[in-house]
Amino acid sequence: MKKVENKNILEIKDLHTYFYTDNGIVKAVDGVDINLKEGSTLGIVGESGSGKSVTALSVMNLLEGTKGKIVKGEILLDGKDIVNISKEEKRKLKGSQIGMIFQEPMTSLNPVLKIGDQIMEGLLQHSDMSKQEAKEKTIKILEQISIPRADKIINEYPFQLSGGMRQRIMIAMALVCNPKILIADEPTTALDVTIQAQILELILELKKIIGMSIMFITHDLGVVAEVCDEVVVMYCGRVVESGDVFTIFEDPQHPYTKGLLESIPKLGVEVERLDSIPGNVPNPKFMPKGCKFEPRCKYSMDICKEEEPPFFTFDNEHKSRCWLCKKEYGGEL
Amino acid sequence: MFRYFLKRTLAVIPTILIVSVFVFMFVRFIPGDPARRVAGPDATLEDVENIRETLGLNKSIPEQYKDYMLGLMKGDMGTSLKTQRPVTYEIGQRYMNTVRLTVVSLLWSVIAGVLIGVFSGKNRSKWQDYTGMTLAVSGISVPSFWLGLMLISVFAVNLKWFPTVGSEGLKSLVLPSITLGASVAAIIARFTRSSIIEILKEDYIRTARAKGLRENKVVWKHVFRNSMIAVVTVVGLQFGFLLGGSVVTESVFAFPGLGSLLIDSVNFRDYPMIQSLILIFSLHFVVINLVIDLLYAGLNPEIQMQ
Repeated sequence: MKKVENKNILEIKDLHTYFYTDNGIVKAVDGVDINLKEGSTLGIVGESGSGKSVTALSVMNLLEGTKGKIVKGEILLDGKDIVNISKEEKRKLKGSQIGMIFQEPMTSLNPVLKIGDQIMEGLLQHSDMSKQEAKEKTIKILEQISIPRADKIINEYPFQLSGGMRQRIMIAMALVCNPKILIADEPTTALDVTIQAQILELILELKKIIGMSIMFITHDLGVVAEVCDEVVVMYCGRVVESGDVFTIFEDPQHPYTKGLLESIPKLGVEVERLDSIPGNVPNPKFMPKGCKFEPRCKYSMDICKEEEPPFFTFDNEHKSRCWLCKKEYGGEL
Repeated sequence: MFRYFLKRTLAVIPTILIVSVFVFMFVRFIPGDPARRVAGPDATLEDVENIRETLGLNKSIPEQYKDYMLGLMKGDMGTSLKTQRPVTYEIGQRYMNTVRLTVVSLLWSVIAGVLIGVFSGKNRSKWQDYTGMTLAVSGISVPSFWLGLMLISVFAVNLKWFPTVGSEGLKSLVLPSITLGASVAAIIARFTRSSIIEILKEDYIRTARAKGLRENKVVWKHVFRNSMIAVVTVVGLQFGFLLGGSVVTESVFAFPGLGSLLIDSVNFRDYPMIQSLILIFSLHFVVINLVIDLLYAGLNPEIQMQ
């Protein structure tokens, strides 16, 4: 196990991001604390609607144009708050300090602009490079991510490339300014399995070269096991369990994490039917009063219905938000 | 690209042929007898019959059509029944006036419409949007003959800034082109606005924002070009509409263009003139559509490559 003992490059403290829709307030992120250590890869895991993407968009300040708003909490980049700064300062951080890649490579590139132009414009925005220098740098990064005929590709359009190639272009685009942090929002979900492996490998390789920290958002625990140092499990806009990747996989404490792990097929183990977590994520308008996972939990107790559990901490900064931890395992508040 | 162009150009011929057949027939279905109009109210029945014979109107419609088309091949559109001068001469006298009016109208309405649309769309539900869309709704709702009369009464009669009628110089184009372009600008503004709003929701706009680009760059580089793909089509259709829609405006301003010529010809049942004018109008439509398709390919690289 690789122990990462670095300082936090990104700290999310008590983040609340709400969406003000016509049908009322949706608390997409409701009190989330996440620390990303410098040089490490953090996986954020959860079902659709657990708030993992909204957390990323809050960090990236990409909520503009949606109905979402950060209502409370701090986001510290390298110790400096990035929530209560001017729009212009926020803009300057995007792309240069934090890069982001998205789930859908097919629709995330502008169809009418040349590939090279789309990669270069970030460089031109954030540095004093001339067009020629930016072009050279673009070709260099494309070669770095082993894209063949890089000097030709920059004059081609997105529709001429496959999904896997487009995701590579997205990665080049996010990393061209050497950001400190890369946020990857389900970067492999839309790709087929062989390409997925290539993309993951590429991200890890670039991490070594550029030395950035990665926030990896996914619902695929297999991917987490492969690339992450630490894991945060989210449910209904809250973190329910966090810890390093080995602890989470070997000794999960929260029933939700256990459920997620049980729903992965295991090689060599024959089962009649794969386990799954019964039920669905609750409707945001009718959130349970106590633990948000209680209606789906097979260990449900009386206290779970009444009171939301706090975090119980174990060794190794392993935390879990479940009453069971208090009762059976003697976790500390 | 050249083959595409050639293919599209050849496709114009059957379209024009079909249009010419229909126009030729329908013109002759309009009640009223051109021979009697030419002969005058006091003419005897015999005179009228003689005139009908000289004009070739006693022949069957297919025969008349044949004669007309054979003439067309030689560049002869026939002789105006009203003025007894060649149709080509009459149209030639006024053609450039209409083109000038249409082009000026289209130019200002595209620029104004697109600008209003972009600012409304990117400031959705803010005051810029409400102002822009109020203007646009007024532009669509106000009938052009009324707008024309109001403009004449204020700017020509009272303030005397512009001439009331005619086609002398650029000054005389101002009021007619405002009248003609107002509704077009409004339609383009609304279309641009909704297109901008649609494109702003696209994933690649989020990507552009994630790069930390300035908002102006996001709008004018990433949003604008994509939204123009939809707007160009509307502009093309509106251009065609302008060339025909000038009928009302030209009458209000007594503007010597093709529109007012068409009105006169219909009143006189001037068959050769009517059918030639309609043929020219439809030719405009077809040619503009061709140009729009080529422009479309210029905006969208995916079509260019195919």
